[in-house]
Amino acid sequence: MTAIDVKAPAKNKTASHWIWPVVALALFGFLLFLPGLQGALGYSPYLLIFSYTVFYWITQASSWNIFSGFSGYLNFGFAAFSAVGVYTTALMSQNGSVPILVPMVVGGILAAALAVVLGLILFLRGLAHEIFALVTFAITIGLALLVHNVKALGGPLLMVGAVEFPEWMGGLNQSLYLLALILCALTLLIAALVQRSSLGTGLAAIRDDEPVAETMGVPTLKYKLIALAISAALAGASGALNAVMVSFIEPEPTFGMELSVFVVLMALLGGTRHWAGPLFGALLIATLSDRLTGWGMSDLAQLITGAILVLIVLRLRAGLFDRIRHRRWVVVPVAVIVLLVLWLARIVDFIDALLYAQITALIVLLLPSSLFRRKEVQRG
Amino acid sequence: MTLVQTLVTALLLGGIYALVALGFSLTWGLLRTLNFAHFGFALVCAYVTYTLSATLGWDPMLALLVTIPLGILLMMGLQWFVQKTKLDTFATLIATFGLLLMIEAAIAITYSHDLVRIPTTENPWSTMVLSFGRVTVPIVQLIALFAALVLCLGTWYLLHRTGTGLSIRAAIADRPIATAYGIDTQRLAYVVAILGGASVGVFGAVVGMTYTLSPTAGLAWVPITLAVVLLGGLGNPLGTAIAAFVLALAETLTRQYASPGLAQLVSLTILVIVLVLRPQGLFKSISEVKP
Repeated sequence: MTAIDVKAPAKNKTASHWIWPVVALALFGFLLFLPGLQGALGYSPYLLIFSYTVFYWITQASSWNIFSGFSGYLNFGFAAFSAVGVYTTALMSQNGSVPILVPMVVGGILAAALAVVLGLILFLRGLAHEIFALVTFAITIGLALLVHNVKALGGPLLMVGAVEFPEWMGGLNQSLYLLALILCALTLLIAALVQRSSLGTGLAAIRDDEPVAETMGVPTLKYKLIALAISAALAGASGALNAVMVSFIEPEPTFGMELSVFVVLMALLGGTRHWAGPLFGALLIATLSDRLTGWGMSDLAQLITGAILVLIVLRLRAGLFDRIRHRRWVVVPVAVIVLLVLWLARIVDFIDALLYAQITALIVLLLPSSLFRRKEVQRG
Repeated sequence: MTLVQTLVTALLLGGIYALVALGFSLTWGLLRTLNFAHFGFALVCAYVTYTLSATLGWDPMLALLVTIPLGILLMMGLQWFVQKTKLDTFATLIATFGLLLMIEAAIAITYSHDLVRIPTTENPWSTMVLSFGRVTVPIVQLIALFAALVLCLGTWYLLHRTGTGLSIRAAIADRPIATAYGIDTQRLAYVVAILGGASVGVFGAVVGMTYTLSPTAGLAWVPITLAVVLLGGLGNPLGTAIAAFVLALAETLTRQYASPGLAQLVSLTILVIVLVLRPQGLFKSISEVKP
């Protein structure tokens, strides 16, 4: 488990150098202008809300991954950071209207501050592995109880007041969509930059063997704190935006297990060693859970969520992205074709098509490697 | 409420905490399985108790005859699964969490999300109390306390005064060497699973008899269990019992003299303070926590 990146054969490397960034940029541009094309494409307004949810989860899962995925410190109480953002918006909007960017920035800073304080306590005491996971879990429940009991911090129920969005973004749903999209792209960009920087290399070294990394001169405490602060700041900003979506703020769901567990699940499913892993994990889980809830089967969604967690541990330790990488010339076209055929032929609506495309891709990914021409590198 | 009554209440609550924490502590400390499904198993036992008495008209105490074997069976099944798949501690945390989510969902599908409770007509035990002057002691909780003490002391005796216990401790200390000396570590793991399963069975039945049940009720026990287990030392039955009573006392006093909402917060604050000052917990773990 030491190799972080397995080099692709040379002929593919030159091609993939520019193809994937261009695809990503094109997709980002398309998504930016999607609300403007609303009328022309004739999709339902729910698509914007659904997209918002997907961006939200990608942001949360990717920001979790910046610290926990790269360093191997499994944070089981990540909801605390986004909750800081949620409560920042809620409390700031109590006395008159506030522009959304203010609580997003303030919430991010406050979440980062909380992360540094918690990080100093936990890291200086050398809490790691499962103890770290359980203590972060306990602290988050404690924070929820604290907020519940202290009126000044929010109390048992808080309503988000008036929040202003920038004029040019259009209506509420459209503004939420655009801000979430931009924040999501920013998070992925930061995650990619962190992974490629010495910070990312240092975190990977911490993950593989912290004492050795320390001996070899990696400033482990500093790196862990920086990564935790970055990931908390992004989660806080995303939470501040999400407060508008939730609007009735209660401590238990805000600090809740669901968020903490989903984030871990998405990142582990996608794969934690690469910044793009959580993107795919979050996309799949968010689509699946949206559809199952829409079909009135939220219990079934939970059952599947649990089964996926078990499956990851048993069969997918390296994550989906590891397999996507090795089969990208098969998986990506297959998924795109299924998506376009189902959607454009109006067989099902877009979100259903997205789900079926992902399930098809998943099946391709889970096929035994002997079916594929190129020899795969077995890892994990 | 008098101070004596408060102390009695705390003692009884401590019994329940010790029951739920013992199994968790044993599987974590001795089997290296961080078992979140523990709470799911307890919930299954609680719902079984509910069904047996509310639907089939059994006396709830008789349900113990079903829930204890059921708890043992579930715990042994999990242990078999973990041994078969060779999961490490970290992986068991994630896998058993998935299992907990699945159990919760299965219960929600079977019983719906409604809160359920055994009707008092079917459950004579819920209103039965012993009275000593002005101090009242609910019978069910007294039985739970008794069971907790028996299980904790029994486990301690098994671990520290018998040959089997010596073998278990040897297997924890150094598994390859223990195996080389002819200790069957896999079979011993099932002994520990049986102890954990029995405590889950009793705990589940007590919860079914005393509390209102819902599919998410299992999670409510997670924070206090973590606090008790981490304070009491992993796999240390006496430490678990003492930590359970200390935390129950702190919670009961908070509930009595401050605000009921703060009770759980006090436990978690104690946990965080202790972990920061003494990461190894208040009592000695049976083994070091290693990656």
